[in-house]
Amino acid sequence: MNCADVYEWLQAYLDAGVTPEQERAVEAHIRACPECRRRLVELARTVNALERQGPVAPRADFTRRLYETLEREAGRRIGPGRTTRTRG
Amino acid sequence: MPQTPDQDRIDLSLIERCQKGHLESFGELVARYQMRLYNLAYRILHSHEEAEDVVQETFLNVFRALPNFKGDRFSPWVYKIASNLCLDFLRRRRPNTVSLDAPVGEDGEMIREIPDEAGLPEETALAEALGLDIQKAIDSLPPKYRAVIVLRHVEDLTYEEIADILNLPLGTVKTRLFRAREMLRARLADGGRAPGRRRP
Repeated sequence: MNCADVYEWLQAYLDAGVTPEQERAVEAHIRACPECRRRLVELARTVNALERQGPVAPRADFTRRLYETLEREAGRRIGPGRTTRTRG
Repeated sequence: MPQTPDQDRIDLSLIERCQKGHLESFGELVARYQMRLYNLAYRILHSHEEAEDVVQETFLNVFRALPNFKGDRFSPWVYKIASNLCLDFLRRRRPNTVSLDAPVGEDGEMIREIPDEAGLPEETALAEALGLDIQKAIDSLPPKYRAVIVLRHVEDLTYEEIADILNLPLGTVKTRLFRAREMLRARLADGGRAPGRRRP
């Protein structure tokens, strides 16, 4: 099995989206192929960097302004959501 | 975080109450989704102002369409509205970024090399000074790849959920996701520089 054949499985491997048989084939290939091993490590680092980003805080008053806009549309207060405004 | 069946049931019960005129239930739906949608929009658009606009516009659309909502899950529907709005914002933002010799991807889409400075000139020097910057790498992706990568790795959705949200075949979702990760990998391995701009 060459690098091009295994590439899609290598990618799916990152999402645990391979069958046990494909998983064994990927693992056998990366043991034997330094280039694909390096690529897998770099892809895993990329995924890790994406997933490590964490939530981003909106600007101050975002929630208040959002509820005000929605309440203008609804024509009245929209209830308990107002009490959950922890970020603005 | 992935949506559980229990969370889906809570959403549906809130929608049912909204449809009966209990608008406080709409407020609860907003509270449940506002930060998730904000994060989705911010990671795709890299702009607080546009992310706010997307969240606001999404909930206005939801509010107007809610009386006719008949789906069995709220979450894919609201993500679909927000994702499409993000893509609209990106389309409106950059009219001149496709070069004539841009390569064509395997799903027929042009692969665009977005200028580093696209829309954010004041951030370039700072971002370069800070070195590796995953958000900047996301910004360098073509819009359709951005949506897939953010839905998969920021929102932690499955291939199937992304296919449903973006109305794409499963194979296209995988192709775009794998290509996006490969582009990000190449960019990050290159120290955050854009492809084709490698220095000697």
